[in-house]
Amino acid sequence: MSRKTLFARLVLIVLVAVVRIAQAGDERLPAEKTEVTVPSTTLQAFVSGSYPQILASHAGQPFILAVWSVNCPSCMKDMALLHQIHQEKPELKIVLLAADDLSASEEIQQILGKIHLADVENWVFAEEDTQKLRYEMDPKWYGEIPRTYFFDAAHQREGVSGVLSEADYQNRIKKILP
Amino acid sequence: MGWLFLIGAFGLLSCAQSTQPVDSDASRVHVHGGLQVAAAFGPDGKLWRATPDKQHIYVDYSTDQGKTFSAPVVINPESQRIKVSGENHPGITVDRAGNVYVIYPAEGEKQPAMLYSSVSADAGLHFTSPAPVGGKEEEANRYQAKLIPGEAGRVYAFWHDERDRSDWRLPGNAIYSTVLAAKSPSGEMVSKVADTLCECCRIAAALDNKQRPVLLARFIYPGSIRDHGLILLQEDGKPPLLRRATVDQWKIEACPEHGPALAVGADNRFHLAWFTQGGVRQGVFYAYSIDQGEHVSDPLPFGNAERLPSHPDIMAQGQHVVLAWTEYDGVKTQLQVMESGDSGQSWSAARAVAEARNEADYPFLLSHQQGIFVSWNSKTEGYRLIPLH
Repeated sequence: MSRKTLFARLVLIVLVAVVRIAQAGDERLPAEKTEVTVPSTTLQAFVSGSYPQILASHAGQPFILAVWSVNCPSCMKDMALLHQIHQEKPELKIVLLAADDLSASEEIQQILGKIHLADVENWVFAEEDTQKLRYEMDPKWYGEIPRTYFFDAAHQREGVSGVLSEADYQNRIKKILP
Repeated sequence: MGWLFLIGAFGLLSCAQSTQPVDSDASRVHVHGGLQVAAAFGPDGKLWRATPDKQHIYVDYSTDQGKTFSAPVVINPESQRIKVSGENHPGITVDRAGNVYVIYPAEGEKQPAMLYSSVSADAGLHFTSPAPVGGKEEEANRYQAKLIPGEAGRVYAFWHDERDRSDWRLPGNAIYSTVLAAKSPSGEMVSKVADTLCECCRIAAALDNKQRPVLLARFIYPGSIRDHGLILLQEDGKPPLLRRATVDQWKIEACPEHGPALAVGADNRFHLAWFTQGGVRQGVFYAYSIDQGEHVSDPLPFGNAERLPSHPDIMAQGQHVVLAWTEYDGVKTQLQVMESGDSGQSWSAARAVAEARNEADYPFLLSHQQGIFVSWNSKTEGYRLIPLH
């Protein structure tokens, strides 16, 4: 190995190390299947490919996917109703996705605790290009939240933006349940 | 942060390979990492830029139309949790005397969301310590600020203010305003401009031909309708005039984001651009008003509806009106532009003037004597000031 090649390899090693350290110190970088564990909730990192993964893990099952954010007052109202539905129909799977980033994890956990939705499947956007993440889920969605998807057992879905009334929820749940 | 570290790593690589200093091309890319960049021309044609990272706001300037930038100055020597997002940009503007004003969102000492402002009276060498805009930080959350330079060293600041909200379940924020000046960088007199504003949509603002501020914002109209209204500020403490400008009937209780854009031509024609998903129409639209919002022209749709047209900005220079917006095809974002030479009566076809392969900021139109430009930042391509002619 020539001195030049050796030097280039050393530089590469240093570079990789620097990037790894940077990634370890940066909660916003894409993290593959990272889990941020706190006593009450496991927040799963929503990255490119997570959406089909969620579909696959609920294959043959109806479920609700609800997108919310810590900065969205309307979402809090919506989630209060989701909690009520969760109490009444614990068999109906609810998946929540926080459209924030990993740096908001603590705030997300606190809110999930307060609104009693820490025990459902919880995700958080974990890639900086959130437009891409949204597009993978729904190429017609402009990012307004709350955004709720109702999936039937065949995973035919209906997406609705905005706070839903209790009657809205009941009607849509009726449609997706067998 | 990751961006900063990556740039640092590339710097390390180039340093290791040769003894030359880091290529100055790196300064074209965003060394501070933040995507949401604010920019404004000063009266002398200098381009000023405010860039956030997670803990600081930096200001630099360019004397060659964005090709190279000065060494950045940190506005907040004490770090803060900066709370910038697409709808919650920092702001920068320069008054006629050359004072540079910066406003930015950060976590407050007493509130989760606060706005801070800082002024430089020596052409950007020094900035005043950031202070909460409108004083009395304990009163309420403040965010989504908009700065516009007025006459004679006055800069208007408008923002969302939650001080009148007693219950978070009740919808609607207020807009408050103040005047920033070199001697009162955080604004002394604070006044309420309007009520029942949609909580998460930024405010658009411009000056009319009498130099009075005009705002365009998304309001909550009865029946949970999120449509837009114009706010005309009056002289001598008279209450502002409010005029509904769009009737899209977007019935939604949500955060639509996608705030509007506003420009006023020399003929005092108001030019409006906005996004809606209403019952009446969906997409991005343009309209004008020749009578200060009493009547508004039929909304003109623009953009490719298959490619999520978003975040329009608008600018008027005499009869020349320019619209800029972004479109996304699932992989790349395109910056689209169309122009009118007759005050918005007729428009050129849309043309793509730039592309971004990764996350991109909103586009902002800027002008000075040398023409009209789009200020656009993106993760992969870095900051660009794109001349339109």
